[in-house]
Amino acid sequence: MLHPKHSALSFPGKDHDEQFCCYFRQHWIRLWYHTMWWVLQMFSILVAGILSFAVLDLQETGSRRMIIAILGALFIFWNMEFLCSFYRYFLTVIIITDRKVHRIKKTLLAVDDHHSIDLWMLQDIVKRQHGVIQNMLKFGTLILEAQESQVRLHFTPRIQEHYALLMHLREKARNIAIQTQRSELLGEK
Amino acid sequence: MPFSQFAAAVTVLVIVAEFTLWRLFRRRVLPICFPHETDSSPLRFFSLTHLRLVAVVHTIFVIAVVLFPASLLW
Repeated sequence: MLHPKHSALSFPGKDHDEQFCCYFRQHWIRLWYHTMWWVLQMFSILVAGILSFAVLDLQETGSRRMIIAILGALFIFWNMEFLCSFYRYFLTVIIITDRKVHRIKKTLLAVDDHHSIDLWMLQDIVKRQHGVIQNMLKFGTLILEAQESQVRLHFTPRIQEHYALLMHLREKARNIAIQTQRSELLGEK
Repeated sequence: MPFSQFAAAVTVLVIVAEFTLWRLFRRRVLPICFPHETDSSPLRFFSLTHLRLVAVVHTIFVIAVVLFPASLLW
């Protein structure tokens, strides 16, 4: 999971001395709800089309074309809505560096959030996997708790590996912080 | 309204909508695009090039699905 040759990778909000470790998006199950909703919408258009043209057998040209236009417009609108949710999925990323965890969450227009938390400040890292699906698909919620803030990483994929990585990086970050403090104290003396 | 006008209107509408969404998405996603091997997500297939391909395929799919039955029933 660590990629030393990419450690210098840059992204918005990164400090100059931070080293990039890896990044991930939420589990693909996040898209499942949108996909099922889209399938339901497409199915309802199909049923409406069959009812209008096969069962009711509309003969009048004006009303037939009106129904085609309405169903076409609904199809286009719902497909664009689905595409927006598909794109939104790719706009939420968690970036892990040697010092911090960054959660970047964007939408196409309205939202551009960036939340970061120092690894050495973390008091507790909680892994939460509830239910059969979360355990089968190996995803869940990681809760990063610091003194005054908390970051919840929902739908974290490969949660066990990311949990272990964060524990390891936290220890490293703490050691670096302690060494820095010591050298600063010695410098003062 | 003849079918050709309806077809042209649908094609233009879909292409404009898809292009606008793609441009918005690209603008937002570019700063957070990283090399493939640093991605530890389960869905690693989707690089920016693949997503562009998905957008093109989706555009063709939407236009075809609207226009094919419409041409038969118009």
